[in-house]
Amino acid sequence: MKNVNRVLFVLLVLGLVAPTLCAQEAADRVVVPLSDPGKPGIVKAHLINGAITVTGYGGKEVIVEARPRGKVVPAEEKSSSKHPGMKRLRVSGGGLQVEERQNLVEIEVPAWKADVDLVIQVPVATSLQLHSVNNGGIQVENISGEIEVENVNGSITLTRISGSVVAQTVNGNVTAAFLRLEGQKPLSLVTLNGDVDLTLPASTKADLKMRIDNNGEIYSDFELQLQEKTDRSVRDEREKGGRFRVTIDRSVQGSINGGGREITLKTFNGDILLRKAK
Amino acid sequence: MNCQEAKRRMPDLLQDGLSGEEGRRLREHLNACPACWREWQELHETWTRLGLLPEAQPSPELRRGFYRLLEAGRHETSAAGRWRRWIPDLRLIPPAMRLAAALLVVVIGFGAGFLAGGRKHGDPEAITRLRGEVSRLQHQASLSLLSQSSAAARLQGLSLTTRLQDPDQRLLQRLLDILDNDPSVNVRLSAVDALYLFAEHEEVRSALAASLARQTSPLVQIALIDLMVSLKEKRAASALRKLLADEEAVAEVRQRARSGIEQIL
Repeated sequence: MKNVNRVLFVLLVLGLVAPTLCAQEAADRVVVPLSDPGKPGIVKAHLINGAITVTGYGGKEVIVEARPRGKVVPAEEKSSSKHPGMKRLRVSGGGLQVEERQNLVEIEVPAWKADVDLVIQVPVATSLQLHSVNNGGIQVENISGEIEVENVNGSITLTRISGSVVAQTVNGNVTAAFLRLEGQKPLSLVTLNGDVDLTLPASTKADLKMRIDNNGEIYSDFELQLQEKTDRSVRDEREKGGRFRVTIDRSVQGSINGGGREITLKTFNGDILLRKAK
Repeated sequence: MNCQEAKRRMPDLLQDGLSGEEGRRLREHLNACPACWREWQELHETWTRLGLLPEAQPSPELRRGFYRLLEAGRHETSAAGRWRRWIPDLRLIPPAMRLAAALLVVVIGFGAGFLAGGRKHGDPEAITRLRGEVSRLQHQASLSLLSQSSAAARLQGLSLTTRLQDPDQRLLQRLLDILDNDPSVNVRLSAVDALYLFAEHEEVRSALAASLARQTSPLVQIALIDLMVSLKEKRAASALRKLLADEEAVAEVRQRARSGIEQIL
């Protein structure tokens, strides 16, 4: 049994639940070596309240920091009916669990009462699966692996990426800026309330499926070849320094640079922005 | 090298790299001809994708299917036997007439062959067989991609499925399963789009109508409501009413459900 490879980090910081008045807690920091550093790993992070920031770096280990947002909840906001006249303090230090097995790193903050921000550093080629629900956005920078992000109340911002993206939030913007586009897997960026903002290298070959609703608009400075749908208006303002603008009844299918990679962009209340990288 | 020659040599280039003079000329042509380059890219991509597929294991269904086919073949042969009774016994016809008839058949055969020779295509049976083979491979590729752990790969599987003319029962069932159970909202949303293409199947329509009540993501709920409206699917009405009455549901969803009910009924 090669279970020697299996590293199990369970760091429960429930001992740190002592109420605290300082604005910033000392962070919990865990350094996780991968079982096989020669191969790209997968990092899964799950959070209920808080932000997740993942940055690709030159190292070979995964470094996880959990930063509780310790703060006093104002008395007028949360005056306890159980104990009148007293302030309720928000308890910090939600606990952090990190587990590594065959290059799969799973990070979880089980507490849901406190806000905890996760700050993670990973090798650039790592693939990510990130989930959060409330009180914070998800940010990713400098990653060449596959990225899957799900948020509910918060934005998603991905910069200097080059793999594939599957991202979804309900309330917030979804922004992704590619350095280059590797592989052939489709991209999908959707939100209910917010803008979808995608930046691609100028030479990207792609087939786009875009959908807006309500009062949204689609903006792009790419030369879009539109297909099928007829009721559309195209306004070219590039001569005057503006953008090439396309508005169509709800959905647009088109291609750039002759077509190729499949890209789906959707928002129900918001705009779609398709930008050429400068 | 011309385009036709280039197309013929592409498979060789894929398989063994095609060294020497011929390889050099093909690469030269590919660099010069955008149409062939595009074709080469597509071919190369398909080839790589197929290479990534895990080796298929024959399912127990395969054995059963084979024997079913064999049985069907036997029935056909015995049906042919019944027809033979109506064909006159050739031995009763004089030899000269038989010879003349044989010559006539040969002449007609040559004539038909000559006429058909203008078209380059091989015999239609082989083409049908090839089509069947390609469709089988595509089914296999779709199913395999749809069960990958990466959401992007599953999206790729969905997009491959939408290119199929007539997906089989198993694949449709897998699409419906994804719509209900896939952990990624993006994948579930794409499944709605894919299933729209196959909505002429009765079981797809009824499953779509039933799925609306199970969805929790507002994005998927809205996409399904829109789909139900465009299909005028009355069976979705009760799910729509439930959404409309649901205080927890997102405002956009309830609003969409309200206008949906009006349009369906």
